[in-house]
Order: sequence, then structure tokens, then C-alpha cells
Amino acid sequence: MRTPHLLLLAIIAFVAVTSRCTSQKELAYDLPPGTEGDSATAFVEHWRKGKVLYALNCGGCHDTLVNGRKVVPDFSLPQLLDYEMRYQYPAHDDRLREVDVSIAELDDIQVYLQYKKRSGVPVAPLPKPQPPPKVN
Amino acid sequence: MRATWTAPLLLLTLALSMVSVRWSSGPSAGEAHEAYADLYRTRLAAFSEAQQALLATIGQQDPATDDGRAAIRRGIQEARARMKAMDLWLRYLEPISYKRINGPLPVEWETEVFEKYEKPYKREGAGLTLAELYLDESGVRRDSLLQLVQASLAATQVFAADSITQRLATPDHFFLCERLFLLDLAAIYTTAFECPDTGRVIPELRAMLKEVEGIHEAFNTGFPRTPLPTAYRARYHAAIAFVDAQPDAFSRFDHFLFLRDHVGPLFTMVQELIGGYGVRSRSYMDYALNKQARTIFSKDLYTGQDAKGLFRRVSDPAALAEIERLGRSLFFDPLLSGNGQRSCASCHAPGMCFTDTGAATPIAFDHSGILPRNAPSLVNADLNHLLMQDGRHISLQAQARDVLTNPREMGGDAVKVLRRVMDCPDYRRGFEALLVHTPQEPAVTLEHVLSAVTFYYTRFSGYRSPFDRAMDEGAMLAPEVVRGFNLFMGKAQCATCHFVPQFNGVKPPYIGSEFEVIGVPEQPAYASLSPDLGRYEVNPAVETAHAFRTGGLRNIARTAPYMHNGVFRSLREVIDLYDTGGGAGRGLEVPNQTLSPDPLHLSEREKEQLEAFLHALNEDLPPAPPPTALPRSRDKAFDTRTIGGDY
Repeated sequence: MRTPHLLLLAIIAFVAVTSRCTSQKELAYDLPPGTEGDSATAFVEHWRKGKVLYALNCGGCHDTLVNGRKVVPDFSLPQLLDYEMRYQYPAHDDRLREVDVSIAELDDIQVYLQYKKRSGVPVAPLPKPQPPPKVN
Repeated sequence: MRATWTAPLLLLTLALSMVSVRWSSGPSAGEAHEAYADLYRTRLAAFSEAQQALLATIGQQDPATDDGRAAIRRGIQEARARMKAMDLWLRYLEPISYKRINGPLPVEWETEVFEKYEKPYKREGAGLTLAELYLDESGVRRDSLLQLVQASLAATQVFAADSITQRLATPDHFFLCERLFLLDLAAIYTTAFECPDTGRVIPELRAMLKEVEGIHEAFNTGFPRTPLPTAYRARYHAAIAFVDAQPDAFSRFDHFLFLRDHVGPLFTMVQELIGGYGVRSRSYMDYALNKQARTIFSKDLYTGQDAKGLFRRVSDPAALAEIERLGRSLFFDPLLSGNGQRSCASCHAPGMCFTDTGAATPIAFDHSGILPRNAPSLVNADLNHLLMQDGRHISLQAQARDVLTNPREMGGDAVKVLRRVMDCPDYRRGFEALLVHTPQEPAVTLEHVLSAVTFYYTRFSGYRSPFDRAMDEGAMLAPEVVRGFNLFMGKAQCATCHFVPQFNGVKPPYIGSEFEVIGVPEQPAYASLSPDLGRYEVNPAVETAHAFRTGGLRNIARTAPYMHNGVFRSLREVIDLYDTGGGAGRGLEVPNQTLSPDPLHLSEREKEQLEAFLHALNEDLPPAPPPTALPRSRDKAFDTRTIGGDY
């Protein structure tokens, strides 16, 4: 009888620990210093939406494979400026218009990328532009 | 070992020498690009020199005398000619500085799409256009003239900055400059929008077209791998020949043929080049333009609003059909109002082109009088960047939320409205099934509801008019319609505010909405100015008092009454307002009127022709019947609600 109890306890402990890890992993952010109450709630909501929207719109190109695992890279603050994101990267030309990602959604993505836990992985360099095709 | 390494080294040396011979047989790619950039620098220097010469002339001449003014005017014209020689580059590469060179108004409050989140900003006027206008005023002062031209010269020097000239090293910018140039040819260059002397509009156009041909030549030399094809250049040359054959008189220019047979086809070709060469933009000037739009009159030429809202990433036809079904039902459902008696369709009746042609302004929610402003048509509302007649909203969904919760309009409460919608099992099932398309939202929100509504009514913005078919497909138009369009673009000066192709206040590059002060009266008899302060309520600056967002003219013949307060019942009354110089022309006190108070001197026949053209902008809208029933609610009190509302 003692062994099954111990086994059960071990399973519960394992699930508790792993689910806590999952939970922390899902909400792995650094709350801006001094944020509390309603502000903190609003922040978490923006961050959570930003995480989903990043995965929908950005992760396909920006996530980096590290040891076979997809990692969200660390963007610098200048890279996260609206104007920079919308216009300064030719690859965003047809993908980051307002009909693709609204102003409010872009704000959420910025919040997510700025305050997520650092992964230590830099943003991969942009692919080289292709030579133009022949036009008659 | 030594012999093993020697052979490959020799081969490599030979290969490198071949490459060297190949590149040295002509100019290097870098040298070729430089030839193109040299033309830019040469023209920039010539433009600067012309402005310096103008400054010297202003310093030497007395602007109080006829001779002095004539000399200064010649200097302005010479500087404008140098500006036009490189306008293709200037307008695109640094638009803010360009407005200091060729700004049309003494003070403008800018609200462009990228600044949607910001307050409008003030731009003090400067530049050659204003200098020329100022020269005609009484008591003109030399130092003020100097100030206007000095600001223009300082702005010109910005175009020598490395951040701008380095863009000349790759071909992408050129195609985007060319595209904007063509759109300006369609909407601005022929309309006296920025040339105060209408007698010089066509001669300036003629000279500019030829100067741009020189830029084409230099570009093809500089970028032989991405040339403008022979067919394009031949077509462009034909456009020059067309304008050369036109009379100098601005009022006799054939805008219709120029647009249909020359500018339109060139635009289609440049769009194909942009797609074919894989041209990429790095400028907000291209923010709203659609690379896939085939013609200038394509309804998707630019994006003003995101009609789908929260559902913007949905492309599944079945899901889109469901969103439209829900949106249609909600549009007619008074459940969205505070008293359950008023729906969107109450003031935007689909059978009346999504407006209310029966009332100057709608009844207030609580029946206590009427609202101050006319309910505008929702057809083509998404072709504006700012919404409501004072431009207070930046998205269709925000605008819809405002109306829904406005105590004078629908009197609803956001939380209660959502609860009532979700109390209807049909709505609940529909929206919950759609949640899979908005994974960032774990539950249905009012934004889902509003997005379905905007998606429904913007479906009616995709239709075309006889005028569009004439432009794109060569369909026949009555001669009176063509004459009306030429008047619209020329003598009647309508197109200086209602821009091609949507005939609203969105001008190339279609990234902002414009406002005008035209002195709309309170009554048809012009006894007093309408007290509505318009844009001032959003941006309280003296220049914006009584300013309203320029409305679109598509379907205008179907959407009476007119103006922000619905004061006029007929198109003729509106044309008469403009013909007599707006409110100021009728003797009303409108010190900041942006419309010239001078009469246009339109004849009766010309007014009829203008009306004929406006009727040709009626679109082939399909019927928009209401649903036969509204979803049942768990709250039985709502099950007797009227489809479309009670008032």
C-alpha cells in the first residue's frame, strides 16, 4: 500500500511542478517596474494578446531554431518602433500593413516582445534580396 | 604538392582576369548608377540656384511696384520650372520637406495615416506657391516674401542628405516615384491644385513631362537590369505628344482622354513592373497603396480602412459568409440600441444608399429634437482614413462603437449590448464558432460584433460606376458626361478637393483625409453661417473652425440632402454654392474659408454637364434587403423588436 501512495504523490508532485513550469513559461514576462493593480492586469492582457499575435504574424519568419527548438529572439527597442517595423524592412512590405496587423495589435506585439523573458537569441539577419526577374 | 596548387591558382587568375575584362568593357554598375544620381544632383543644384536667384531678385526689387512684382513673379516661375524638373523625386523621397517647397495653404493641420494616434500637427506655410499667392495680396512685404522662399531653399537642401541620395543607388525607389508621379498626373497636376496661375497649368505640365522623360533615360542607363521597357517609354512619349497637341488654356484641356488613354495605361504598366521586378518600399508614402491594383480606378487602389476589423485574418469563404450573415442581421437589429427600438438601418437605410434621404438630419435618440449633422452614406465609407464629418475616428469599428454608445444616437451601453447579443442563441453560436479565427480573444467581445457590422456594410463599397467602366474598359459615355468631367477637373475646380479616383478628400499617395472650410450656411437662403464648428471640436485651432472632412461624390446623386447639415436638397444648390464662392462669396463672415470666394462663372449648360458627370458616378449597387427575421432572444421582451428599428 505504501508504494502506490508514494507513486501517486510523486505523480501529483511531477504534474504540479511541470504545470507550474508551463504556466510560468506561458506567462514569462518582466512586469514593468512599479506596475500594479489595474495597470498590471491591463499589461498582462496586452502581453498575452501580443504573444498570440506574434505567433500568428511574426513567428513563422522570426523564430529561430536552437537545438531543434523554436525560440523567440530578442528584439532591440529600436527594432520595435512602429515606423521601423512598418517601413524599414522590405520583407514587411506586403505583410505588415494595417490590414494585416492593426495599430492596436502591433502595440500588443511590441509589449510582448519588449517584456518577454530574454531568450539570449539575437534576431537573425534578413535574407539577401533576390535578383530581379527579367521583364520584357 | 606545389604542382597540385599551381594549376587551380592559374585557372582562378584566368577566371578573374575574364571577369575583369568583362566589367572593364563598359561602365561598372556603380558608375552607371552614378550617372543617374548625377542627374539628380545636377537638377537639385539648378533648383537651388534658381531659388537663390529669386532671393536676390526679391532683395533688389520693390514688391510694392508693378515692375518689381513682375520681376519677382518671373523668378518664382523659373524656380517652379526647376522644381518641376525633379518633382518626380521630390514628392516621394521627402514629402515633409516637399511641403515646405510647394505647400498649398498658409497653415495646415496635418493628420496623416501614420499619425493616426497622434494629435494633428500644425505646419506653417512656406514655399513657392504661397510666395506667388502672397505677391497678389495688398501691402506685400519684402521680408515676408524672403521668409517664404528662404524656407523653401532650406527644405531643398534636405534633398542632398545622404539618407536620401543613398536611395538612388538601387532601382526600387524609382518605380515608386514613377507610380506616385502618375497618380499625381491623374489627380493633381492638371487641376491647378498647386499652381495658382491657371494659365500656366498646362505649359508647366508640358515642360515637366519632358523633363521626366530625361529621368527615364538616365534611369535606364543607370539600371540596365531593371529598365523601363520600350513599350512603356513609347506610351509615355505618346502622352507628351497628346499634351503638346492640347491648347494652353487650362479650361480647354481634355482631362478625360489624358486620363483614360495615357495616364491610366501607364499606371497599369508601372504596377506590372513593380510586381515583376519585385520592387520593395521603405517609405510610408506607399503605406496605403496596393501593389495588386490593376488600374487607377480599381476600388482597391488604396486601403483607407480595415473593414474586417477583428476578423482581418479570416480568408475562409465559409467563415466570411457567416460574418457577413451575422453583420447583416445586426445592422438591422435594434438590439444594439439602448431602448431596443433603433438600428444602424434607422439612419443608414440600405434602400437609400445607406443614408436617410428623407431628413436633413436624424431625430435624436430620445426624440428631443434633431441631431446637428446629416447621416452620411456608408457606401465607400472605408475609402476614408478619418471618419465622421469632423474626422474624430480612425477606424470603422471605433466609429460604430461611438454611434452605438452615443446617448443622442443609439443610446446603448457597451456591456449591456454585448450581453443582449449573446442572449440570442443564433448570435452566440455564430460568434463562438468564429472565435477560432481570433485566438488572441478568448471570448466574444463587442469588437467582434462591431467588426461583423462593418464587414457587412462595406461589402457595398466594391461596386463600380459607368464612369469607372469608361475609364477602364472604354465604355461609352454621353458627351455631356465627358464635358462635365472636364469641367470638374478644370474650370469648376471641383477636383482640387475631390480627388481622382474616388472623388473624395484623399489625394495621392492616399494616406490622409483632407478638410475644407467652404462656409456652408445654416439655411438655404444664406442668412447665416452654420454654427457647427466641425473639425474644431476635435482639434480646437482657429484654422479648423467650420472645417469638415471632404466627402466622396460617388453615388452623390442618390444621397440628398447635402452638406454636413443637410441644408441643400438638390445637387444644383450645391453647385451654386461653389459657383458663387462658398459662404464668403455670398457675404458670410468666413475668414478662414479655404475655398476661393471668387465666382466660377459657370453657365447654366456647364452646371447641367457637371450634374451629368455626377450622375455617371452612381455605382451598380445590388439590392440590400433586410433579413426576414431577427434571431430570437432568451429575453422574451426583445422578441417583438422591429426589423430595422422603429425610428
